[in-house]
Order: sequence, then C-alpha cells, then structure tokens
Amino acid sequence: MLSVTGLFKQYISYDGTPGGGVFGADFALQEGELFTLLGPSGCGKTTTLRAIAGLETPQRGRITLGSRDLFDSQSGVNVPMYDRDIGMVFQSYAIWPHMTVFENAAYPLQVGRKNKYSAAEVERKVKEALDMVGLGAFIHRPSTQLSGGQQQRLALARAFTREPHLLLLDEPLSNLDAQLREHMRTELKQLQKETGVTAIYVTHDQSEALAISDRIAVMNEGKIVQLGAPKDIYNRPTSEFVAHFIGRTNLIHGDLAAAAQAGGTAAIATPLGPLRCFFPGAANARSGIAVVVRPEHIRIRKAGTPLEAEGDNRLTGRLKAETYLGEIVEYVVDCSGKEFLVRTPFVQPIGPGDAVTLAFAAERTIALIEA
Amino acid sequence: MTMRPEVWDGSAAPMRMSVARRFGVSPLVGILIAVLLVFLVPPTIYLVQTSLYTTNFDGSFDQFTFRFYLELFTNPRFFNNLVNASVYAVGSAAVALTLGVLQAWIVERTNTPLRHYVFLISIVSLGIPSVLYTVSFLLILGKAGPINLLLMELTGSATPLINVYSMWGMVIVEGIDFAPLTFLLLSSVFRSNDASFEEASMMSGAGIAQTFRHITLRLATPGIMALLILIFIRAFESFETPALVGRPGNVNVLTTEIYQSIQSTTPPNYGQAGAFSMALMLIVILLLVWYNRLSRHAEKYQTITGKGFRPRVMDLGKWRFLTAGLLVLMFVIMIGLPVGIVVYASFLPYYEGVTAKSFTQFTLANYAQVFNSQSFKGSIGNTLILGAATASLVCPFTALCAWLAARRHRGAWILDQLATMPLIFPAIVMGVAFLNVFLHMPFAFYGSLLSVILASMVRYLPYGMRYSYAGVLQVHRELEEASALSGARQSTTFLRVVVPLITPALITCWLFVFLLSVKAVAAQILLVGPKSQVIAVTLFDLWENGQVTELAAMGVTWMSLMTVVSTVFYLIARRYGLSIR
Repeated sequence: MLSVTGLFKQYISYDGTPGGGVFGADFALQEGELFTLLGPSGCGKTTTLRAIAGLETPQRGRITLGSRDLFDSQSGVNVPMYDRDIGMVFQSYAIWPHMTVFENAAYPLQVGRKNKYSAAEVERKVKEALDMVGLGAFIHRPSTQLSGGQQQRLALARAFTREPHLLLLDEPLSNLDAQLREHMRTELKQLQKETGVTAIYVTHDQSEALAISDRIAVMNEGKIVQLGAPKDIYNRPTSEFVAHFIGRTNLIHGDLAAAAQAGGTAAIATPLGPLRCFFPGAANARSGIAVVVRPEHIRIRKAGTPLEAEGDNRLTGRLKAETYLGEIVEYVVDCSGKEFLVRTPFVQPIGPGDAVTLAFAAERTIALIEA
Repeated sequence: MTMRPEVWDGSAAPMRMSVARRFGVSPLVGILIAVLLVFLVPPTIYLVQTSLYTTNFDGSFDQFTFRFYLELFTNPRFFNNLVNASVYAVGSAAVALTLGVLQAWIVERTNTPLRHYVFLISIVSLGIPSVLYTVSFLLILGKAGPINLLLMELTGSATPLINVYSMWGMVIVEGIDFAPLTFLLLSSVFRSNDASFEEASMMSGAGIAQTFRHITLRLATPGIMALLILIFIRAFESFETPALVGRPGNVNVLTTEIYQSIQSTTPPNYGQAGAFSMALMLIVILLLVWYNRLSRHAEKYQTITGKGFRPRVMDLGKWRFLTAGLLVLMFVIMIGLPVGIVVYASFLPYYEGVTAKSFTQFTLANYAQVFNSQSFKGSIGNTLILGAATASLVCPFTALCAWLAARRHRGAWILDQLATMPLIFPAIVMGVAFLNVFLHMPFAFYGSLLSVILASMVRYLPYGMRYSYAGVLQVHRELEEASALSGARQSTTFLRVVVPLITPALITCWLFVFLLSVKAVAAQILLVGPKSQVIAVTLFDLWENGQVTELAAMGVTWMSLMTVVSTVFYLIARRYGLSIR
C-alpha cells in the first residue's frame, strides 16, 4: 500500500533558525487499515500527512503509493497533488462557502483531468457519497447553512467522491464538541471499514487514537517513537514519552542486577524494594531503568485486608487524597515519599491518613528498555 | 487594519431607544459632538445656500432661486460630464482592480520570490503627490514622451500616434495611480481566506489555474466587489487626473466643471458650482450606502473561515519565476518609469522629451532654483506644517471618539457617525463649501494656512477614525476593566492603559493622515492663498505654467522627503503588526 521511507522536512523560520518538521519517518500501511499518527502539537504528524498529500515538499525521503512513486528525493520524482489520487479531510473542513452542498461534493469529479464524468454520473456519485454520510436530504442547501458536524460529513463525502486510494484525515474531529466527537468517531471508523479505504488519521488526542485505530505511530520531535496496535502502545510503552503521553502513569526508577530476556520478567531493585517487571525487549544489567505502572492496574486495600492474587508486586503506604469521579475513584498514595496514583471502580472503605497496601501484577509493571 | 470608509449605520440600535436615552449623552461626549458640529454644519449650510442663491460680486448671497438646479437638467454639459465621469470611473476601477488583484494574489497566496517587497513599495508610493504621479505619466505618454517617440520610430510615422489627453489616458493614469491602494486593501481580503480552501481544491484534483478561478477568486468576490465600488467612488470624485489629463483634451467631468466655474469663470459662478457639488454629493452618498451594504456582506462572508486557520501559500513551482517577473514588470510601470522620468526631467534645462542629446545637457540648475527660491521653500514648509498639524489634530481627537464609541458611551455613536460624515463630500466639493465659509467670515481668514489646515482636518477625520477604531478594538475590554477594578477613574484608565496600548496604532494613524493630507491637491486648490501655498498646489500650478523641469526638481525633492516618512510608517506598522491590512 503506502510506504514512507526516510521522510525529512525541516522548516526554516524567517530569521533563518531551523524549526520543527519531521526528521526521518519510516512506516508502511497495509491495505484497508486505519493508521494513526499521534503526538503533541509540533511533533511533525501534520507535516508527514501534508507531505504525503503533496501539500509540502520534503527535503529528503521517498513516498510510494502502491507501485507508484509519489515522491523520491533521489530520482527527483514529485507527483503534483492533483495527480496523486488521495482524498483529504481538513481540520477546518475547508467547505467552500460559495458553493452548495452538491457543488462542494461534485467539485473533485468536475475538475479532475484524468476521468471525465457526465453530468448524470456526477449526480449519481455525489448522491451516493452524500447518502453514505447521511447528508442526502441537504443536497441543495447552501453549504454555509450546515452545522459543524454536517460540514464535517460533507468534507468526508467530498474526499470520497473520487474514490481515492488513500484517505487522509487531519484532526477531523477537533472542531466538534465532545459528544458529537465521540459519535462521529464511531461513525468514521464504521465508514472506513465499510468502504475498505486505507486511511491515515492525524490527532493529538490519545483516547481518540486508541478508539479508532488499527495501528498507531506515536510521534515526538519529528520522529516516530513507537509503532503498534493500540493495546501494545497502551500496555507496553517502550519509552517514558509514550507512557506519559498515552494515559496517566506511575513512574519509578531502579537497578537491574542481571540481564533480562525479551518477553520475560526480572526483578528491579527500587528505593521502595524489589519489583518484578516485564521486559518488552532484552536488557543488560544497568542502573536507572525506568518502570511504569498504569493507575488502573494497581489494586488498593486497607492495610491488613487480604489481597486475592499471589505473585504480585506489593507496596505499603499512606492514603493522601481521594477524588471521586463518578464511575471511578482516584487515590493518591504516599509510599515512602513516592506518590502513586491509583484508579479503581471500586470504592474502598478508606480515608486520608489510612495505611494501605498496593498490589500490581508483574506483567503490568513495564520496564522501559529505551537506551 | 482596514481603511474602509463607512457611512452611518441606519439600522443602529439607538433608533429603538427612548427619546430620553437617545439624547442622553455624557458631558465629554456632548462637548466632542459640539466641536464636530462646529466644523461640519457651516460648510454644509453654506454649500446648500450657494446652490440656492445668486451670489454678488463681493461673495454675499443675493436672491433665492432654483435656477441652478433647473440648469442642471437643461445644461447638456452636465449630462456629458456625468457620462464622462462614469466611463472614467468604471475604466480606472477596472485597471486598478486588474493590477491589484494580480498583485494581491501573487503576494498573499503564492511563494513568488520578491513578493514581500511589494508592501514596502506600495506604501512608499503613497508618498508621491497625485499631481506629480499624473504629470509623470503625461511625460511618458505625451507627444514628446518616450512611448510616442518609440512608436514613431517603429512605424515611421511623422506625427505622434497616441494622444494621452483623452478618456483612455485618464483611465490608465488614474487606474495605475490607484493600484497600490487597491493592492493594500485587497491583500487583506486574500489573506483572510483560509489556505485549506485552496488546498482542498488541489486535493480534489484541480490545478493552480482552476483553483484560482473556482476558489480563490470566487471567495474574494464580495471583497473585490465592495472595493470596485470604493474605487469607482474615489475615481468619480477625483480631481487631479481629470484636471491635468482630461481638461486639455476637452474631456470634462463633474469635478473639473466645478473647479472651472469657480476658478476659470469671471465672475466665479458659485451657484453652478454649488448645484454641481450637490449633485455630485448625492451620487456619492448613494454609492457609499451601496458600498457599505456590500462591504458588510463581504465581512459576513469571511467569518465562516475561522477555525484551524493557517496562513499558507501555494507552491507555484517553476511558475513562480513568471509571477516574479510580473511583479517586476508592474513595479517598473507603476513606480520605475514615473519616478525615472521625473528624475530625468529634473536634470534638464528645458524639457523636450527623451533624446540622446538631452543627456549631455544635465544640469543641477533646477535644484538650485528649488533650494534658493523663497516661494518653493515656503511651499515645502507650509506643506510640512499642514500635514503635521492635520495629523496631530485628527489622531488624538479620533482616538478619543473611537474609544468612546467602541466602549459604547452614551451618545458616542453620534460621534462615530459625525466623524465619518465628511466622506460624503468629494474633496473638491469640500473645497467649495469651505471656500464659502471662509469668504463669509467677518475677519480675513480665506487664504490663511490655518484655514487650509482646518479644512484638511475635517477632510481626513474619517480616515483617522477608521484607524483609531481598529486600534481601540485591539485593546481587550478586560484590560480596562482590570484598571477600573484597581480603583482608577475612567480618565486615568484612558491615559494609563488605553493610550499606551494604542500608541502604535496612533503613530501609524498620524503618519498615514500626514501622507494623505499632503498628497492630494483637490481639497486645497480652492482654498490656498499666496501665503499658504502647498506642494501639491504649487506642482499643479507649475504644470499649468509649463515649468516642467522646476516641477520635476521640486517633485523629486518632495518625494525623497516623503519616502523617508512612508518608510518609517511601514516599519512601525510592520513592527506592531498593524500595517494597512
């Protein structure tokens, strides 16, 4: 499908200082998957997307769609964007205000140079696309009379009318309010699966990325720092950045006495005592290894109350604060000066100042093996 | 920041208020309203009276009559002038818009090299007096000008082939003269469109030309339409070009007819000037109302861009060298040639076109004359005083009015309306109106520099108002509320918080009003006396007397001075992000 190799694009600001961009990104898409570029603002995700679209010209690298080179800095290939056969949904939707709903959606069919469509065909295809996104009834409305969510659907329909090989989505939901956003994200994923189009989705919202993606590439400072399925990214982060960026996490440093195997567990000596940790990759004995545990993977009990499972890591501490959030309770526990965050759906009979025991499984205690 | 003139807003909320509330104004607002009325009411009354009374030799009104209005309909010249003015205004608007749209698109929407210099050049060109600009084109396109000489050489014709003293000459000169301002106003129209509108088109498979035609141009259409009317109005009421280009070729418009009935008729036909002025004013009012509607529509149209706004430009690839070439070509036509020929003429003992021989006769005699002549020096001094005084009066006054209006002080909307009202007076009409006021003063006031300054102040009030308003709107209300909550009085808040924050806007306002007030001739030509000569009028007279080389030397001297002023204006405006956007 699409493959991106060694993509490099650095922005130079007006006063000549080098700015952000993307510094060597490699990834390949599988047919029909929804691939997400996730990262904080300025991490290079949008630049990557725009380079694929042809809206930016990279300084180095190669972009191949199917068997066709779209861009190759070595051979000098740079297919103009109107010839790339890529559909795109913009963050601002970019619905042309001087056109009706129909005109907006029909535009890609009317201006294209390769395929000429008869008026009847255009009409049929536009109807199809609009029906698909549920805008069939609005076909002759001026586009300015659409709500935010409807504009978003229209942008989607417009990107689909040309039946592109690849669909690019640049933070398409970020301008919608929270409720509509969740609704649209389900709909978007359904639509993508139904049409089978391969899509790249750019977002800075980690929960959106986890919910919608087949695979996620987490980007930071112009580089892809981890690439994998949502579950892997969440449960098996390989770096502090990913652990912190995706969800909230507890972090503690310790020393590894003996080499650990990939996929196995080994004990790490921390100031709070030894913790058995999972190693996603092999690691040699060294000090200062970071260990992360997700707040919802920790169980909490009043000190002295028995905990079910054996073989877990255990810590004792004192409850510092409790925040009731409705479906979930958050506890902050002080373990010998180190604060742990615990999230659990089960309210415990404890209050601030009480002594508590924390327990968490070794498979949930992840050693970050980054150098 | 836009320099968009506006007329009063007929649908304003105060219309629905109770009578007491409507006329309830704070003391400060009341004083300011009174000041404005003192300056606005007499000229209006005198203008109306002039058109309704016969005038005696000593300037006093005699008998009430509708004769001058009836004559409008029986005088074939009036309809002739009206048609000429319309053709001329449409033509020059078309020329200015074509150049302006092309420039604004290249500068704002593409990655053409050199594009950033267009701003500087356009603003610098604001400092060239309209008379000088017009004259330079007469030198280029005139019978002995390089274009005619070249054409005669090429075709072997013994007589000049083109006659600039004609309708098309007026259209070209005025259109090019207006192009920089058109560009400045249009660039904000193009800039305010979200780049993703164009990117979405490119992603839909459209090329650059298709995207320009279907998206960029269409989105800018409301803005362009509004601007079209604005330029039409400005051309319709313009004086310099019709006077210098049209009149010699017997192409007269309303403004030149008004000028002639006062300046070239003995005794001056004030009644006819008054009736023509009223007619011209009525047309301008109607056009301004239309303009106001359209520009408000244009703004509505633009508000839907908003979210995720990214000011990106289009990569033209190899074509960007073509667009850069176009920019250079436009620069040569709009600035290079006119300035070049004036500089050239300023070194000649006498002007006889561009010939090989004349290069051997270069002399500094004209400059020596400019720097030694008392009247030239006096003229430069008067103009600097005029500009500085106008700007210094207009800017603080309008800043106060704008602040009161923006913060919705009781009755302050009246201030806003009154301060923008002078827009309905074409410059030459305002000249007629003030001429009559000054002539009827109990003491000798007509012809004094102070009288010219006062008229100029009224003329440029609306421009100051627009600038100040935009400056005040940039100050968030909460900054002032924080001051009030700290215990400051309103006057303290204004001086300690508002003034410092709008100072950059005030400085650009000052420089802009300065540049405008010394540029035009129409507002002053009927008012100046021997002791209050100003540059624009002096240049005008020099041309009428055929003193081309002295005119050129004086023009070059003045242009150099004004280039400094306008460059400072540009730098300050850019530094604070408030160039005429």
